[in-house]
Amino acid sequence: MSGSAPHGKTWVGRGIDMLSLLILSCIMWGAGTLVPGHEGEAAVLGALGFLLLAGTLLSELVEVLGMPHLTGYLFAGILAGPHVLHLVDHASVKRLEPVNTLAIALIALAGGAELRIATLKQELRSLVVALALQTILGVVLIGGVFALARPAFVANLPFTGLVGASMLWGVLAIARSPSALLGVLSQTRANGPLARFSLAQVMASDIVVVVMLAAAITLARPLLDPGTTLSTSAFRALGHEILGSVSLGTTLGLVLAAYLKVSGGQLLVVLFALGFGATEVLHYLNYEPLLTFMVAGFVVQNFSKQGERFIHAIEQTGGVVYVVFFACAGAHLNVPLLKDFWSTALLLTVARAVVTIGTARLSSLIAKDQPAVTKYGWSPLISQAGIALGIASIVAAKFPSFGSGFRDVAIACVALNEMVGPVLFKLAIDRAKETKAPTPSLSDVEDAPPAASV
Amino acid sequence: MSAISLLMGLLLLSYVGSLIIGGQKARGLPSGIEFLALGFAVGPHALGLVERSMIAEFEPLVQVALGWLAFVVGLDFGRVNGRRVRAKPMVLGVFCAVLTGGTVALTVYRFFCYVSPFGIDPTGVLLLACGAGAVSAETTRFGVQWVAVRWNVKGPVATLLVEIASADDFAPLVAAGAIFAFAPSTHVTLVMPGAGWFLLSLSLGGLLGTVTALLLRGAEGYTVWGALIGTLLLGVGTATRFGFCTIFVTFTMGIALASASPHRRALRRMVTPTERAVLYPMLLLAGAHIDARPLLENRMLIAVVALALLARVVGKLLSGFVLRATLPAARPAGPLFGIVLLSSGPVSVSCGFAFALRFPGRVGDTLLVCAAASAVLGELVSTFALKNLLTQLGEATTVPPPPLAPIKTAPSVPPPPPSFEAARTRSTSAPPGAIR
Repeated sequence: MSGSAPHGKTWVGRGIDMLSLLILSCIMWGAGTLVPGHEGEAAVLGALGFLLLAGTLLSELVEVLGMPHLTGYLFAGILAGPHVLHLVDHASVKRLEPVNTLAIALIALAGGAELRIATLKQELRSLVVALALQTILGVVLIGGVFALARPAFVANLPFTGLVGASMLWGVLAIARSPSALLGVLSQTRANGPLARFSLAQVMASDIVVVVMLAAAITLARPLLDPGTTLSTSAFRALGHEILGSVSLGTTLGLVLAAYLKVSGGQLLVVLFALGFGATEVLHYLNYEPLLTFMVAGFVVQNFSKQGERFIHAIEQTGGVVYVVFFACAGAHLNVPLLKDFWSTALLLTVARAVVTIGTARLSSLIAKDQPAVTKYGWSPLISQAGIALGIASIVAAKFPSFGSGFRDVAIACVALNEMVGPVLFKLAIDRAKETKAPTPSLSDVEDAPPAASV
Repeated sequence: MSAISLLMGLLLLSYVGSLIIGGQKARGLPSGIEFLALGFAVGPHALGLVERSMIAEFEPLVQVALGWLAFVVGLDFGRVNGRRVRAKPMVLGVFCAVLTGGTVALTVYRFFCYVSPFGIDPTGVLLLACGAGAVSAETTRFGVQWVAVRWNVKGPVATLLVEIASADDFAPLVAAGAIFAFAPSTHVTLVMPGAGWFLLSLSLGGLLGTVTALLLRGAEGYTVWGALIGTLLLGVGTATRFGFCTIFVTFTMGIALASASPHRRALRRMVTPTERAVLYPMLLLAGAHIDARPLLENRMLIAVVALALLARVVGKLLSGFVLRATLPAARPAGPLFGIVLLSSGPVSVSCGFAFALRFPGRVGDTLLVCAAASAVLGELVSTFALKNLLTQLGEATTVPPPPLAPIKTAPSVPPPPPSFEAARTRSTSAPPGAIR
């Protein structure tokens, strides 16, 4: 954890980091070997601590290769997880899921707070074109490739069923990863046309995907099960969910802004309370936490003067939470499954990447985007993570005839996109010269003259 | 009450605790027993708002909170208000704690030589005696600091007291580490004598502290907190897995980190303000965990608690004599100097709670009750005795501390991560000359 290049990280420093990682791994291994079969709270705490440390250390080691920190977190999880070194067992990974709740809340709050009305106005044309093309062409073309490839788990479906499954796959393919985007942006502290456009596009695509999923499930059901008829009840429920989430998010945002103005202290505790408490309430009300928190962040940024302060507080808390979130995601990755489905997953991943890049270029030409966006606008769209996995789980639950195979291949594809996507985005941000200087280190703080108190 | 409501309540307490850090007034009681009492009131043995199963669900959180508090004590060990504790008060502080703890342990052990310990085996008796010694040894620095802030205390006796109170945390934490080492987890496949386990737990804390120091070389932004929280969690998890005393491991970790890291000052500024924010939820859960049923079922245990308190009073009076005999600054305090050393608080309750979690049942519950009773006794007797003593000596005044001028930050300072900036602001916001 010796900081990044500007803080003079030497090879000795990196060697010490590796040695530290080795010592920590030995402690974990020793605990697992000498106290076998202990899957209680102690194992969970140990796993949490180890993933946090290993993720941070590996992130700095992969930085040498120009990779984003997020990739280091993921690799730490994959390596330490139940499928490779087994330093962290499956039960512990499962019990760390509450961290995801907090991380998703922070990610959505940060995402919303990063969206500024002025930027959205500037980028409105580009955004509308990009979203429309990515959604329509994405679903049609990637769904088409899926139908042509006809993976084994849909081989027995009739043509109409295949169309339905392809439509669902198309929706899954247009899901992006706000967490990966924000992870890279928070590391690089990027600011520029590409960063701004990426943020707006990925955050907005989230809402589009939620709507598209409801539509796809409604349309696919009669295609896959001829006995059922088209029902619009899903849309009514969706409308209620979206409206409710936006209303509650606005209220939450106004309350947060008022709190920041009046007091603003102890934001860490407030964010924890929001992450766990508000999410619980939202689940109870059947509202969408991601959308609610995004709207809340948006309101704080655009309807108060507390936006910067708010973002700063989230970055501070989020830094640690993201490491655990992505390391857990890495530990969750089913590596054997990837081995089993690698050919299908590779074909579908490549097809998705090609369609995404092509569509992004086309939309940039139509909207006459800035050069950085035209050249690298596709790069934030490759990553996939929680939302895509969530869609896969929903499909598996709603369409049992092919759902489990669909989910397994989806997991394998998400694994590939999760590993490759952030690297490409970080590379693009670097190339577009939007990366900013790192935060000051402990040494900087030590060396700084003490604050003058009068 | 659902788990999420309890969590919200704990976060609210944490919020209150973190507000108190920034304040200038001595709010609440120095030992924090009001939170202990609140916890008991809402707990399963009083109003029943918090169920036993729910407390068990929060056990990982409790272990981390206990570990964090001991880590903060370790990181700041041997220092008061940013300066080093003098060697003589340091040695005497530890000695007095050992003397008191030893007196209590011996008294309780001897008691069981004459009275049959119904339902407690010989190992349990030894554990109870040593544990009672460990939870009774401390004099809390919070008591002295509370009086110091409230009555604007300045003077040699007050300084000496805060130094002794700061140094004597060492004894109960090490004693707890040693006691736990003689009863490792039954899941462990390795067979080793107790001394070996003790050394292993000591090494674990030392190693993790050193690794943290290595990780913090040039660390930036959130990675500093990441390294601190990560090693702490790993330490707590591993210690719990082996059945080691988590508070001993993290206390050792704090000392090792403070010794090995060149950034110790910045780290202290960062970490110290978190103490109260973690303390109050911990005290609440400790209160909720207090189970007096074993004591009511086996009245002998009530006698043990009473005896431990009595022995603590004797031990502290003896300590007072020792201090007056060896330190000229303590001589004006009079023969009952030991009474002002009776205040106990977070370290004792942490020890008691750690015992209650590790050795559930009669022994653990008795030790937690012992720690709570000790804190109550200290609050009733010691705080006002201390105020009276310092007033008599002319070290306490009723004049409130002067208000602080606004703090200006030097413009040449590079923008540090807000956590450090906040830590620095907080460290400079203590009233000049006041004992923190």
